Amino acid sequence: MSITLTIRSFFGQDYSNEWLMARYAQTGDNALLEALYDQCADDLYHFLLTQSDPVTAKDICQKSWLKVIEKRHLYQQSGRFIAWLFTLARHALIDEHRKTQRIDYREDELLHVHVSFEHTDNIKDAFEQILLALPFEQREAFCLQQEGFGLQEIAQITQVGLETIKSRIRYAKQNLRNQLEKYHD
Amino acid sequence: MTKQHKTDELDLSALYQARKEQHTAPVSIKRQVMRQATERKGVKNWFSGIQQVAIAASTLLLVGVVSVHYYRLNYGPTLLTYTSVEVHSLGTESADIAGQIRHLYAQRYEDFQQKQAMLASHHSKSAVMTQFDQGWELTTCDQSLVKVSNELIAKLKSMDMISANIQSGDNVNIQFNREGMIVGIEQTTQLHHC
Repeated sequence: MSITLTIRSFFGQDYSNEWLMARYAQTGDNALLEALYDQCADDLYHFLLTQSDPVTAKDICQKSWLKVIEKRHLYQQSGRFIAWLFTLARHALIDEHRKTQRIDYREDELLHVHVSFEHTDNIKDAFEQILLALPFEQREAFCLQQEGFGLQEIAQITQVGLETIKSRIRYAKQNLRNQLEKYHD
Repeated sequence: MTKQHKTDELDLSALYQARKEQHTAPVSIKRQVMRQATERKGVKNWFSGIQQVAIAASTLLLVGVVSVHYYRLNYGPTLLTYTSVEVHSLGTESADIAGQIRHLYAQRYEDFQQKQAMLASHHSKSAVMTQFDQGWELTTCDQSLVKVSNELIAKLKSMDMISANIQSGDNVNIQFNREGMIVGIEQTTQLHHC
C-alpha cells in the first residue's frame, strides 16, 4: 500500500481523503494515516488554534487524530472525512472548554457585538485581533465556512440549526467588515 | 450579492488564508500521532498473532480429532465380540481335582503337625539331661527324646551357651530358637515335674 501511495504521489495523483480513510479503516496501514494527516492536519490545527490557544489546540489536535485511529471502524463513507474529523475535534474542544469553563455562550449578544482591538497599521494583524475577539460561535461558524464546509455541514458539526449558522456567519462577517473598513482600499 | 460584498468576501478569505499559512500544525503532533499509531498497531498485531496461533491450534486439534474418528470408523473393528468358554467333561478331570485337593490337604496337615511339634518343642524348656556313649539325651515331659551330639555340646560350651559343670541327671532348661534348634542349655535347680 505504501509503495502504491508513493508511486501515485510521484505522478501527482492524490487519493481523496475519503478513499484514504476507507482504506485505512480496512487495513490499518499507517502510511494511509500519514497521507491523511498531511492533507488535513494544518486545517484542523488552524481551526482549533483560532478557537483556543496553542497548547490546547495542539492537545486537542493530537487527541482528535488518536480518535481517528481508535474509531476508524466507525467511519462512514457517506460523509466527507474532513467533516468527521472536525466533528471529533469540536467535541473534544467543547469538552475541554467545559472542563476549564472557558466557553462563554452569549446567544443574546450574537447580533450586537462590540469588538475592541488595538489599532495597528497592518491589516493582517487587525484581522487576527478582530477574529479572535469575535464571540466563540461566530468565530467558529466563520472559520468552518472558510475551511470550505457548506452550511449543512457546519450545522451538523456544531449541532445547531441551519438558520442559526447563517446568522452567526452573517454577523461574524459584518463585524469583521465593520472593523476592517478603515483598512480597505 | 453586490460587487462591494464580493470584494469583502474575497478579502476576508484572503486574510483568513494568509493567517492560516502562518499557523501550520507543529511537527511534534505528527510525530506523536504516528508513534501512537505504530504502538497501537504493534499491540494489535501481537493480539492478532495470538488469535491466529489459537485458531491454528484449534484447527489442528479439530483435524486431529476428526482424523482419529475417521480412522476408527474405517479401519477399526466394526463390532466388539465377546466369547464365553465353558468346559464340559465326563467327570474324570473332576475326580483328579478332588484327588489333588485331598493330597494338598494331607500335605498341609502334615506341615501343620510338624509346626505344632516344633512349637511344642520350642516351649518345652524343662528337661532331664542324661549322658550316654555318643552324646547327651534330653528327656521332656511329653516323652520326646532329644539327642544332642558331643560336637554340639562342645560348640555350645565354646560359645558359653551351656553350663560348664553340667552332669548327667541334672535338670536343665533347653532354649530353642524360632526354627526349633537348640541354642542353649542351662542348668536349673528346680526339679523336673511333669
